[in-house]
Amino acid sequence: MSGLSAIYDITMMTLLRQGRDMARLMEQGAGGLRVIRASDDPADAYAILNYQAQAASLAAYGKNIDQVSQQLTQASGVLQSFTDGLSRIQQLASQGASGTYSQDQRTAIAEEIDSQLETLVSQANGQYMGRSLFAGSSAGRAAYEVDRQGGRIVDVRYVGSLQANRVPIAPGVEQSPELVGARVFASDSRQAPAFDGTTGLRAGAGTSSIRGDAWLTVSHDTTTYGGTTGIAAGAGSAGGDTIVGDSHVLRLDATAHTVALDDGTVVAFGAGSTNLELRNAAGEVAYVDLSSLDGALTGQATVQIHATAKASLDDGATCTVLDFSANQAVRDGRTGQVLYVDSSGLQRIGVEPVKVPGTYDLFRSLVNIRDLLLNSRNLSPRQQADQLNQSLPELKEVTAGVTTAMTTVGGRLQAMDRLKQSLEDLSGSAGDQAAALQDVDVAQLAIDLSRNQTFYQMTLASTSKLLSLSLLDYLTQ
Amino acid sequence: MINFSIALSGLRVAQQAIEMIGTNISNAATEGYHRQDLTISPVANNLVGLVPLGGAEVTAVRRSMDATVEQEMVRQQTLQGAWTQQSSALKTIESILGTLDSSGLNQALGGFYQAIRELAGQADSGPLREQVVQSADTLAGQFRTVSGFLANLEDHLTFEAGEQVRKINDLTSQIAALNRDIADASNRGGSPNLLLDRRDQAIQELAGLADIAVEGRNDPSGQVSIVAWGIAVVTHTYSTNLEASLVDDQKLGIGVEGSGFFQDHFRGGSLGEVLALKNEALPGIRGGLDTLARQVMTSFNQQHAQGVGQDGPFTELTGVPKDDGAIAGWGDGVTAGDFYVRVTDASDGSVTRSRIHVTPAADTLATVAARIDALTGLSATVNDGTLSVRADHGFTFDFLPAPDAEPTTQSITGTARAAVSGAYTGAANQGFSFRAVGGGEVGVSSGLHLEVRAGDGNLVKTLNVGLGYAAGDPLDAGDGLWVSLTRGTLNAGDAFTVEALSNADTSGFLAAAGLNTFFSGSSAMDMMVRPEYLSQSRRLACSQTPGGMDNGNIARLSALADAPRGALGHQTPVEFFSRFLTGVGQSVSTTGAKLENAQDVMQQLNIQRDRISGVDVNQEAAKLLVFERMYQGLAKFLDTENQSLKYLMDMT
Repeated sequence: MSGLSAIYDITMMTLLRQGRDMARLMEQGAGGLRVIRASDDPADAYAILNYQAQAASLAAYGKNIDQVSQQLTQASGVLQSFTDGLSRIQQLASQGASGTYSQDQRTAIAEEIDSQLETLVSQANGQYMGRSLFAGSSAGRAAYEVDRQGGRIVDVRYVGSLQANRVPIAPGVEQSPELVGARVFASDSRQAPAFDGTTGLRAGAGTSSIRGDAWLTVSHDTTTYGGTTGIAAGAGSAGGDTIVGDSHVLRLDATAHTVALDDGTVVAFGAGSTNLELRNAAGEVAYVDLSSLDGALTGQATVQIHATAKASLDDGATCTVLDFSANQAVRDGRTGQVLYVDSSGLQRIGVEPVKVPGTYDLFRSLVNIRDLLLNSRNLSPRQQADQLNQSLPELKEVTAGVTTAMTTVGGRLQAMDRLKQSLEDLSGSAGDQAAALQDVDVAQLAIDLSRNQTFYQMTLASTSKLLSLSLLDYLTQ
Repeated sequence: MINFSIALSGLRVAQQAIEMIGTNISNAATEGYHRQDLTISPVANNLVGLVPLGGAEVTAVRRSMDATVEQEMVRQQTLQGAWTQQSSALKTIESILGTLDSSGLNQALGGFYQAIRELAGQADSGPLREQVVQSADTLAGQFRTVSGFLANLEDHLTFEAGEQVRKINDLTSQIAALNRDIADASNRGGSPNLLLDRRDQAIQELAGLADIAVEGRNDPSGQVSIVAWGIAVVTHTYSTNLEASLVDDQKLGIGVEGSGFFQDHFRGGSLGEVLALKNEALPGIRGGLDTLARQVMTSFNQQHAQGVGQDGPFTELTGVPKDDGAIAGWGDGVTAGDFYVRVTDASDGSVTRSRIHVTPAADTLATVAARIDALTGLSATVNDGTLSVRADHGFTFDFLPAPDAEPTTQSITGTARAAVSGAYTGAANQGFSFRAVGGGEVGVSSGLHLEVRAGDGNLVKTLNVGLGYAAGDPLDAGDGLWVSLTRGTLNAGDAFTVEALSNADTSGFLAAAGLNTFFSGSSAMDMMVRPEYLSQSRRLACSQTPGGMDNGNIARLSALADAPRGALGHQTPVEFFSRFLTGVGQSVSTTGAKLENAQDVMQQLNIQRDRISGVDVNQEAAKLLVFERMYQGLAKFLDTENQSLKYLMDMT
């Protein structure tokens, strides 16, 4: 038996330690956590921090997935509306191309297509939470701008970005929340241009850069007459000649003073015939100046005609003189794009409808179809019907593009759904792991607390007993 | 009268014994008290025949003690003092760093990167921008709070060292005085035991403060000398005062008072631990915290500088104050490298990108400013060590890594021209080279190709630019770059290069100078979000295109969270802090275990000491009975002797 000090020391130390242990157990019980500070269990604390960081990181990725999914879902809805609208437009265009409708009826159809166009442009500029769905990374602005004439849309230009934002949705995985309208609503599988007119022009060997539909206007440039007959182009030639190429001749009878273009009507001329209008059987016209005809000429003569032409893709704003070669570039002054033409077979002037399959832009196609229905180029009923019929594949092409985009978006959404599920599993697993390490075992805690309490009571009781047992008690009796 | 002498000696012994028992019981609860026992010896006063007769006397008053236990207690006291000091300080540090679930630095750091990650999903979201700015402000505030606390703790430790030195000086003075009193008591033939106890208690207390060695415990004079960390602080009756002071490099040192010489490597005892904490542990912790803060700031600033906010390119930027000496002296990690400035002429939209080379050893802020100033459309000035860049009217500037619209170099003898677009997604800056193979007309000639080679010369792609290629259409050159050719001709061998930038500032100058940076400061103590961002979150540089609408830069900023960094031991910031926090926790745990161990040992030693030196009241009471009976017996003896003498006297 040691002295009082020993008992006191042991009691104090034991009570202090047990009190500290009980306080700690109580703290764990109150918070439900076994590891509160890193020092409680450094190794587990490190693992807990890592699991917590992982769970937080995955939660942030989950939010990004939700964000991207919601935006793509919105875009998918818009695309669905597009396919519905395009289906109706195809129906209308088919009706307009059938040839059974009057112009008034076609105009009515055009009005409906115009209305659909307005709707589609508006939808293409649709937003999700203030962010453009189809403007690529320029999500803060509209994807398309329109040019109008007389209130009608005459051009729809993509002004968004060709790049899309890449949002991190998982470690090392990115996804784009927005679509690039220039890719969704336009095809990009360029094919050789198709010429549908009667000028005799064909596609050149080079790869043209024009897209969609174009109207190639071929007009007369200059007419020259072969030999030294003194025959020259008349004053009206520049604006009035319609012949082009080397296939035309002037049939002259110098003795009878008559002249004819090709096999056209024979016309008498005289010294004052400075601007004689000649017309061949096909109705082509040449204005000739016969006032300086070589006086030595007698009898019949055939004079070779050389008539050049010029071509324009922008309604005459920029013209290219055709050189009758197999490959010549005609440039569109508005866009800088070129069309390679083979003019070796050029026969006549006119407006040549050119289509470049695989490059159609949905909105420009609709503008073109609407304008065809309105017959803004004053085509003949047959030409109008032909052009409308040839526009139907365009619609199918751009509709296919939209459908493909829908499929792509659907695929993305499905992939993100799976990814989100996977991330949630991982996040849940990380959270569970952290909780397993950090959370207190309630049953164990209750046992520990009870045991500590018992020991505490035992310490107090034994100390009380020991300190109460004194010889002095007996001495005083 | 010999018999009276016998009784008297016995009574005297009994009296002394009872007094000693009283002394022992009185000090039963006195810390450091050693039980005293009397050594009673018989005294032969007379011989009756051959039988010696006599009384008893107290020949010694002995302290019950075990020198080995006492010495071990001194040693353990030194350890316990050290662990107590260390444990207390580390627990305090751990508490300021935060618990695993509280709103401490750990949560602030994770919250900051989480906010960036969310903003990367919606770069144009005003609330999410605000969230990033606020979470960054919270993070900076946490760094400042923790760093400020650690600085205060360092100051407190300096103050604590002074207090402990004062205690040491008091104790050594007491011990020297007690040495003198003990010697005096011994010389007078008295028992110095109580003085020895007081001195031992002082030594024990001193051992808790310093690593001491006690010499001369067996000296006949009873005086001891004490050496603390090799300094003789007590030499018999003389004591030497110590002094604590900060030395040149702000380390805390201990030396003899007035000597002006201080040593910072003393360890042991709580004062030794104060030195260890002040000179090693705390600087280490603060260093770790500063490293983390610098890495968070620098990496963010370096990427942020290469982006633009929602307002797009800048008309004016102002940096942060820097030294006017060589850039190498800034200590901001600026290395020899380049940064690129893009100047846009608003009148025609043309963009000119210029490369500015920085040589930290030779360049100063002024020389770099002069180079920026030389660029068309820009003026740069340095005022009070702060670089300001201003665009001339009609110009804007930025540091975007976006590729130039035109190739960097063109060596084309044909008539075609190349153009570049897209956003480079490669990981490193490199120059792509394009070379025409074949020759002919773009979009027309068969067999006309462009070979694309990466910076290492490896062939990346071969692009058809002849027949089948529509002039002007962009071609995918890889890594996010697109090239297009105008209509025209290319001759075989015609070439051009494109400098693709992943990092528009390989020198780190922009971040160091504070141009278009988000954070300011150079350590955890002064880390701040620049005020212009707190008031205008739209300035947060999320974009890498002039339009300021894409998420290119914020996506790169969000990737920083998962990027291990060499300066952080190839860990991410969150991993580094996790390890940092658990490192401190490990120290707390280890120190706590050591302290508990020392306390256990001390308790065992105390028990052992109490067994030897402690006072058991029952034991003393039992002894009291013995001496009481002895006293009663001697009184009876005296009474008997007196009665015998009386009978004798009556007979006469």
